[in-house]
Amino acid sequence: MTNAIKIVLFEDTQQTRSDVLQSLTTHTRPDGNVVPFEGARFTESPSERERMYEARLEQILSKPPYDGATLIVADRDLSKSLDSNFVGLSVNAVAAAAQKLSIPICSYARQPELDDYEWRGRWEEGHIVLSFSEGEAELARRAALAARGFAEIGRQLPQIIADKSNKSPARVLAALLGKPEYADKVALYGVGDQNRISEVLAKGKDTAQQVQRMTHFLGYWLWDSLLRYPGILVNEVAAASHLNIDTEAFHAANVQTIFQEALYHGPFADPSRPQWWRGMLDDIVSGDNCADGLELVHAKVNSAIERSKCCVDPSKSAGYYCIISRKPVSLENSKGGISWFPRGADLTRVSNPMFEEYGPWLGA
Amino acid sequence: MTDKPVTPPNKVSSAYEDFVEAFRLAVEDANVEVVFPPRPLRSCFTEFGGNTAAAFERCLYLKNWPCRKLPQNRRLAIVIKALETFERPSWSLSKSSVYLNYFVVDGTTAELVQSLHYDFVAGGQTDHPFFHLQLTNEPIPELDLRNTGFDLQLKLPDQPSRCWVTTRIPTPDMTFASVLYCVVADHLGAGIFRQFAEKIDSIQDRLPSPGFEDLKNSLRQSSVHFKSSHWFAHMKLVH
Repeated sequence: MTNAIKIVLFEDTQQTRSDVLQSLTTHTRPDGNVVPFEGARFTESPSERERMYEARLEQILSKPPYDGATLIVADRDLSKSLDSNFVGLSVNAVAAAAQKLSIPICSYARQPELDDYEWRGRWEEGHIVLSFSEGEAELARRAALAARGFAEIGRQLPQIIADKSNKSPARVLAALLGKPEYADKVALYGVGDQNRISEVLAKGKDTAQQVQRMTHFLGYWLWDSLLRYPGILVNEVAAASHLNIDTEAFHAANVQTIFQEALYHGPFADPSRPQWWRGMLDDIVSGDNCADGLELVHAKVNSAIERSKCCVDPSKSAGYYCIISRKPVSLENSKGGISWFPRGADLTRVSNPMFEEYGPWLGA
Repeated sequence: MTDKPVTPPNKVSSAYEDFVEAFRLAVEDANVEVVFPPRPLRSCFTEFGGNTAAAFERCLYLKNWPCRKLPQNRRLAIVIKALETFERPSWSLSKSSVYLNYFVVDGTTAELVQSLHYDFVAGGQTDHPFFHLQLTNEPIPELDLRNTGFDLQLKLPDQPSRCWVTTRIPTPDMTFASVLYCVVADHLGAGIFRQFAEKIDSIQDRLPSPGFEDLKNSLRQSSVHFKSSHWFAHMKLVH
């Protein structure tokens, strides 16, 4: 089932706005609607205009044509805004207004500071950071994917929260993912972000408000945590590493077919960046009484397929995933259990060389 | 046993993970500490005897635990080492040995005061009760202790116990999970134990069952049996 989506775009440069708008429109067809933000269109009283941007935006975004937005997409740097009503607008003000309205927000930087922005994209909590480095088409594709994911969560939630057995956020999310039996595992991905506690605790004035807040909270949790840190779900590199299959060999269609049943199809599932349920991968392997995925593909596909290789010492099999280098890594050559890793992310590690380089900032 | 990891069915590995996680939560609720080795639990399942069996090995260090009999300035340290093997592909439990070392901690010194292990082998062992506890003076190897983060100076007993060779006490099926269950009951108080018992109730069915058909059959039979003979049912003493 498709979900109608509405994206509000904040972009201060005319040309980029036109390009991004066009790409977003393409990627949100046929059920999407993209509205560029134009503050100058609004008439505010002098007293209203004296308020902070955050409060003004909150009011404006609650009115047509922006009301009911599924997602806000904003340029990280809005300082060139020529909008006379919002001179010097910052993405932080937009994010604060979005937070109050429980509208998820994605931001991007047109001129990324390379690694720095990539890093922030992976670490920033409660704020989806998209990369512009692959062009506006990819940016728009990812933004549309995010919007559809939030819409899907919002569509399913009323029924799930009506079931009184779904008491905790972990149970709600597990039910949402169609894996109620994984609720304990999902709970291990609680990241302790105190900014979100109000959303967890909020009951809302009515069901619609509660659904909106929970959608916001659960969507970020899924995007930022479960889909980011390999453990309960695994990305392509982590899946290959866990299965002890060479990363390149894992791309082969006849290898992928074996593990197809374990593909993740829930909210934010991205065909270009697939993820798999790790427990289902394990069942596929053990169901054939194989020790690991390599033994299975040797038996079923080709005995020449190579094992995974640790990025630090290729003479060792990998098994784990370095979240900084995004490469397969072995247990011996990496550190795990870093304080900011979700407890359930037991395949997520930092390779020893990366840890030595960034140790003081990575924590213990 | 090799170091080569084996992938168990998700039902089995997740049952172990969930049980140990519930144990950790109970320990934290009691404001005491459990130290896990850095190796993730799922990688503790390794190849054993080709593709017909698998092994599981895990060591836990229970740090600064309370003990009513100890004076206030002394605490208890407990190290638990589990060695279990499974038949593949059924993943039924074919062997379980769980070793416990109890230490009384005084400052930075840990004195071994009690050592024991629980044993079970599918099919039974000659002259051994099917499931049994054996009191010993054997310390868990120091390397295993250190790998769990055990950071105290070890003090082993000067004289060996004289009864440990023959003292095999029949027990219920005390596998790794059962031992952790009893440790919570023994040390963490009724309230926490009740919560823990409730939490792990749903996990029980997913844990691999020990194979003990002879014992089950013996237990089902009539009262003509001598009271404890079912503990030796695998030796065909009763029919």
